[in-house]
Parts: sequence; structure tokens; C-alpha cells
Amino acid sequence: MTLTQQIAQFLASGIINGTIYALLGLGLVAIHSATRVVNVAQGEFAALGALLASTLVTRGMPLSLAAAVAVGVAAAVGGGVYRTAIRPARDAGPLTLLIITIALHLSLKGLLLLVWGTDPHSLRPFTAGPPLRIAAAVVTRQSLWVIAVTTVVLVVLYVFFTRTILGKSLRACAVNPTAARLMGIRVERMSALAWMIAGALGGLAGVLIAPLTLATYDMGLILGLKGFVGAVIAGMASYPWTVAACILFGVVESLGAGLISSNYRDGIAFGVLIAALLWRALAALRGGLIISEEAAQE
Amino acid sequence: MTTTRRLQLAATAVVAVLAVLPFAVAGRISLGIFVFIGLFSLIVIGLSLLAGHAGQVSLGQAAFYGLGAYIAAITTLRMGLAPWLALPLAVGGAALAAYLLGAPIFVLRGHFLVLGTLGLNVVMDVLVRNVQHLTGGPTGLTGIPPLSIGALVIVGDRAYYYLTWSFVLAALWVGRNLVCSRVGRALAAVRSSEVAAAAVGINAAFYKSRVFALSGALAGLAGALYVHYLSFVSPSPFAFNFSIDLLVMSVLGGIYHLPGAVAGAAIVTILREALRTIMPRVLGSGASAEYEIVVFGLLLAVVVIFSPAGVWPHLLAWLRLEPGRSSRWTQAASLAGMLPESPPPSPRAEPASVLRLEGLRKQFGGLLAVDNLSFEVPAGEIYAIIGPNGAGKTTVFNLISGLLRPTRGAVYLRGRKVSDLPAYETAALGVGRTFQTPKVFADLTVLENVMVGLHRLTTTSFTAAMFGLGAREDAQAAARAAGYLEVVGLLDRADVLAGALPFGALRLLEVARALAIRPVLLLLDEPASGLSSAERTEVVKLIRHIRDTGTTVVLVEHDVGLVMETADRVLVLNYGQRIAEGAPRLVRNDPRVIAAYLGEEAAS
Repeated sequence: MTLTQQIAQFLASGIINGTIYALLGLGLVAIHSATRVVNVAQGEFAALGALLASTLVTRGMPLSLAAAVAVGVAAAVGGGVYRTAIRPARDAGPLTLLIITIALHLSLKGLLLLVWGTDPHSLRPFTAGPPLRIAAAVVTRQSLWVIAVTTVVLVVLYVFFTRTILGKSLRACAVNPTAARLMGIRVERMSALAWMIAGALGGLAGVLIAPLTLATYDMGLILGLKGFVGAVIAGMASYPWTVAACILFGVVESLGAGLISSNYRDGIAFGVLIAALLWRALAALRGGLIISEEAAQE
Repeated sequence: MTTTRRLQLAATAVVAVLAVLPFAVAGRISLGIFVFIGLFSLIVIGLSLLAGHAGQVSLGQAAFYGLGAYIAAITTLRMGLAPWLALPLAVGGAALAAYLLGAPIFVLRGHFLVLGTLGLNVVMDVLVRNVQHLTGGPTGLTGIPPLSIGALVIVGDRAYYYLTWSFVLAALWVGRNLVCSRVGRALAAVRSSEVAAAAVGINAAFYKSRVFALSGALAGLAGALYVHYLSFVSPSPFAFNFSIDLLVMSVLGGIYHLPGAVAGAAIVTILREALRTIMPRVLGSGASAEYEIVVFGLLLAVVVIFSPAGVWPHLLAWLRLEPGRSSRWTQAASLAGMLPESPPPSPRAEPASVLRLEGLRKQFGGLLAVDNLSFEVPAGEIYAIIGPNGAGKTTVFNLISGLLRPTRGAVYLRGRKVSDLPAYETAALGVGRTFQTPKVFADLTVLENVMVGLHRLTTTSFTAAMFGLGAREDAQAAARAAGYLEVVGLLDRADVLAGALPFGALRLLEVARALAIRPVLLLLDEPASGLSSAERTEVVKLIRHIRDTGTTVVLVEHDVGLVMETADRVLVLNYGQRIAEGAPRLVRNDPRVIAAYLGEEAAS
């Protein structure tokens, strides 16, 4: 394989991974903007979606239905987690909430382990057939599914946030919960909705990626964190920039791992995370803003 | 017997038990588990200081533990360094790594440290496994020499038991010193309200990064002790999972009480041993170690939801050892009258204006909150800003005090441009302020709140505070703080927790705290709102007193009567624009002002 072909291949796989990270990153941003919680357990939604879909298909359910059920269950778990663990502690301060999501990560991962064990589970690709050749890269059909489905989801989210009252209410809560409440928006409900959206997006990421890798109980953390890298680069606020940053990050990771050594893949990924944090800190310092505008209004 | 006395007795008893434990368990239980509880305690003490006192969570303490371990292993084994020299290197290396990561991250408000540390842990793990020529890769390094100083070689369970636990006691002592010091009060202030802390000149990121470096140092120390104790090192104990275990220990024990760290480390370590015996019997599976996470995850969730302060307070209550609220400053407070109050700087000597705004503009998205505002306040004046709700009065205060950056224009304090400084620097230059909704440091006493106000006028450094070297300055600070409490009439409540004060007293406390920074300019945001008429009279007197002692006052107030009584000049704002300025009498009759308040018809 020539270097050009190699690079084309790395680019392609980077974009596909980045698309998966974007789904997780979007969920993180939804939760963070609605409830100011950094959800360490985001990846567990993906692990749940992947494992559930693979089991349902193995038991004979049609793939499309299994995928829908898996995404639905992940969404329900997202909402359930909000109701049982986050809402009761919502006044306890960000530190407690953060620790709660770490506990959620452990508990959910533990539950997945109890149900599915340590063995990897496989899910068949959405459509059978040999890989396709696009420019200099060879791409599996499932990869195209990842990109196609994510594109549809992004369009749906865009319409939801800009064209529907519910979506606009959710954005209003993110900007100013107090004012939103005064306008008659039920902030609690919007927070639950944000967690459900995050659960669904996570579950979908799991269903999409399961045929490409394998589904395991402990696949979530790394996936969620990589979604986080993109979300942090994009400032934890903007949905479109999060998608762009996640895809860019996926490409950097893939090129780095491909050109240096695949042993260093996660090292490179989290090196980028640290670099992104430092970069944001420098940007904050340059702006001279030590206390944010939000804090000044608190 | 007083609780303090009983606490001392209990502490002595614990130390005595620790001292005789190796002899008591000899031949029955391996001492090794107690060495490990000690090592983990060291790390968890650092983590609890960070979480409980600096309000930040790290999911990468295992990385610093590993960094200490590998620095000690590599420098002694590969470079032939003497172990007693490697130990400070390991501690320093881990502290430096923590500082370099933390200092920039803490500039970002919020909880980004958790991700940065998590990332560091993964990077560290990848490096240790792959840079094989240094670290030995996944199999690790063996044959690391034991600690030795001259001819004294420290080997065996018992020696490391005593060494480790001596360090644990020292770490508890250092942590306690820190918490009770000027630095500890600053951290408590930041936890309560980062904004109010900045308003008295505290740079939150500065202290958070130092606490994080200390937590890194403690983890590095534990790592170095670990490799000299076991004489071997491999990557697995320092992986991310152990960072989670450490957090569980910290939260379970209780992040607000340092001895809780030891309790947490002990409970989790013993529980893990128990689970390793029980789990295979119950589940009968080979992967039983994996199931631990279920137990730890649920344990963490239950503790943090139902008892966020961990088990330590319950343990103290059960042993009837709950400490009463410390009144260590009462003695100092009684000195209040005896200490000559040094006169505040006298701005009257300077001809120039104290405060000058030039073309100040602030835009929030599409909303223009302050529009091209200029005014000047000469020294010794009481200057009032009034205007209907939403006129931009508080925004002007936030711009002056540095909480907000102006979109355009500048603020000058005694001729010096301050609008590009962070809020804590503006405060240090002498801009004191109060808030419309009082922001006091609720878990500090009234006196301590004012002591926090003295932060920039006291000097005990982080390192000095660690070794308890600030006691004398603290006593002086307490006396000075008591002086300010006397001025506002709160001295009799000096030892009450600020969170327990009634509303009117909160306003007065904020004034005392702001006076403690020795402001040249004091910004009072609605000082009389929510007060009874008696309290209001006191506030009027207080404002005049403050001006008479040489501080220029700018106040925002809705109580027009109060403004007429106190202010030398009045500025009227509407929709962020100046509509009138001048002596109270003149302003009151200005038709534009009447129009703004009562509508056009009333004006004509």
C-alpha cells in the first residue's frame, strides 16, 4: 500500500470514528448545557445499546427493530438515571453531581457485566456485502451506515432545536434556567429530556459501532471520553462545532495511531484532550476573563 | 470532659494502637495490608484536600502514584541514584506534573480537572507499557533497592509499616495546618462563592493548583515508598481503575475531614479483601474481581447521594466526639479594642479622582446593558447610582470590580486602568464591594469572613501554612477583623457561622469584609434593601462613617430617601444610559428622571 493510500485509509477511518465520537459528544453537550453536569457515564449508554442490539439480533429479532429497541432502552435509561440519581442531588453542587456520574459509570458498567459477562458480543453489519472503494480508501458498508445515520440524526436534531417549541425550550433552559422557569418552561422536564436525548444518542452510537468493533461491557468509558475531547474543544456549548471537533479529533487520532504506532492510540487521543484543555485555558487567559459572565450573574 | 479533650484522648489512643499493632497481629495477619492502607491513606489525604477543600476532583491520582513509583524505580535501578535521594525526586516530580497540569486547567472555571487527570492517567499507562527500555513494559522492573540512609537499610513489613504511618500522621498534620490557615480560609471562601472570594482579592486558580500539586506530591511519595517496599514495579496498579478506587475511598471516608481519608482507605481495602474471598463463592466465576466494580459503584452512589460527607461525621457522632464549632479566635477577638487600627490610606491627599469611567459600554448578545457611560468620582465623595430596574446599575458595578470585561471603554482607579485586570487584582488595588444578594462565606464564622477580607494584607504562604507557621499573623488578623466587626456592630456574633445570620446582618458582614481589604473605593450594591427601618438608620450612619474615615463610596440603591440623605452626587441611569447627574435635589426635580420613573405624563 502506498503512503497516499495509507493516509486515505487513516482519513476514512478517522472520519468514521469521529462520527461515532460526535454522537457521544452531542449527548454530553446536551446534558452539560441543560444540567451543568459533566457525565462521565455517557459511554455506558453506547455499551448498553451495542450489547442489547447484538443480543436481540442473536435471539432472532430483525436488525432494524433491535436497533430501535436498543436506542429506546438507552434513552429510557438516560431519563431514569436523571430521575433516580441526578435530580435528587441537583442542589448539592457540581462536585457531588460529578461524583454521582462517576458512580453511575461504575454501576452501569457493573450491571452490563452482570448481564452480558466479559465476553465480546458481535452484531452483523446492517447490510451484507464486500467493502467499497472510495477514492484511495477501502470502506466497509457499515461505515457508510454510520455516516448516513448520523447525518440524518444531525438534521433531525437541527430541526428539533431550531424549529420546535420543545427544542427551543430546551435551549432556553440551557441559556438561563431561572428565566426559562419564569416563562413557564418546566425545567425539570427539559433536563430529563436532555438526559433522554443523550441516552438515545449514546445508544445509537453503540448500535452503529458494534458491527465494526465488538460489543463489550467496558467499551463505554473510552468512547465517552473521546466524545468529550471534541465537546471540550468546541467549548461544551455548540452542537455543530462539537460534531466538527469530534470528526477532526477522530482524524488526528487515526493519523497519529496509524503513522506512529497503534499502541499509542489512546495515549495520542488523551494527549489531544490535555492539549485541548490547555488551549482553552490559554484562550480564557487571553480574553482576561477569570470569572465568567455566567458567574457574575449568579 | 470537654469534647476537645476527648478528641485529644481519642487521637492519642489511635496513635498508640498504630504503634503496637505490628506486635498485636504478629503471626496472625500479614502486616502488608496495613502498609497498603497507609500508602493509600497518603494518596487519599491529598485527594480529600483537593475535593473537600479545593472543590475539585481528580481521576488521575493513580498516575501520580505511578509517576512517583517509576521515578524512584528508574533513578535507583537504571541511574544508580541513592534511594534516599530518589524519594524527594519522586515526590517533586509528581508534584510538578500535577502543578503543570492543574495550573492552566484551574483557569477554566468548572470541572475540567477530572477529564484532564483522567486523560493523564491513560497517557501515563500507555507510555509506561510502551517505553520499554525505561520502564520494562508490561512486565515492569524488579530488583529495586530498599530505602537506605547510610548503613541503615529499611526492609521488611514492620519497617515500612512504621515509615508509612509516620508519613500518614505527618500528612494529616500538614493537611490540618493548611485547612486552619489563611490559605484554608481562602479555599473555603472560594468553595462558598468564587465571585465573592475574587472580590476580596483571592485568586482561586493559584491556590487550587497548589493544593493539587500537594496531592500529587503525596501520591508520588506513596508510589516511591511502594517500590522500595516491594522492590518491584509494574504498570497495572497505576491504571485508571485504581484512580476510581481512590476516589471511592475518599468519598466514602468523607472529603471534608482529613482523618476520614484514612477511614476510607481502610474500609475499601479491607472490603476488597473480603470481596475477593466472598465473591467467588457466591458467583462461582473466574472473573469475580471484575464484579467488584458493581459493589464499589453502588457504594459510591449510595454514599454520595445519602451522605455526601461520608462516614467520618457519623463515626464521630457514634463515638460522641463531634467537635463543637471552633472558637479559637474568641480570645483574639477580645483584643479588638486593644489593637490600634492603622489608618486607611488617605486618598484625600490626592487631588485626582478616585474612579473614572470612560465611554464604558457592555453588550450581552443583543442587549446593550451599559451604553457609552462616563463619570468621575472625586476622593471622599458618596456617589449614588439610581435608576429603574434593568437600568444597568449592577452591571456597572461588575464592570468596575472586574467581574465583567467591558465591550468598549475603560475604568480607571486613581488614574490606573483596571478594566483589563481580573477581579482579584482589582480588589487588591483597593476596590471593595458588596453584592445585591449578600454572598457571605456560609461555612466560615463571622470573624473568619472578615479575616478572609484581610487576605491580601496578610502574607502567610502556602508552604508556611502547611507547617503551621501563620499562627501569629492569624491572631493579629483576627484582632483586626474584630475591629471591623465592631465598626458594623457584629462583634458579639463573631463566632457564629455566617450562614446562620439574619438577612440584615449579612449585609453588615459584607460591608465589614469589604472594609477589611482597606478599600480606596467601596461599591455598595443596594445596602439598605431588605432591611428594617432601624437597620436602615444604622446603614446610613455606617456609610457616612466609612466616607469620613477616608474611603470613597459608590452606591446603587432603590431607596431614593436614603440616596437623598447620604449622597453628595447622584447619577441616574436608564437603559444603560446616563439621563442625569448632579446634586440630589437637582436630580430629583429633573423632568427626564421623573419621566423615567413615573412615565412621560407625570413629567409634563
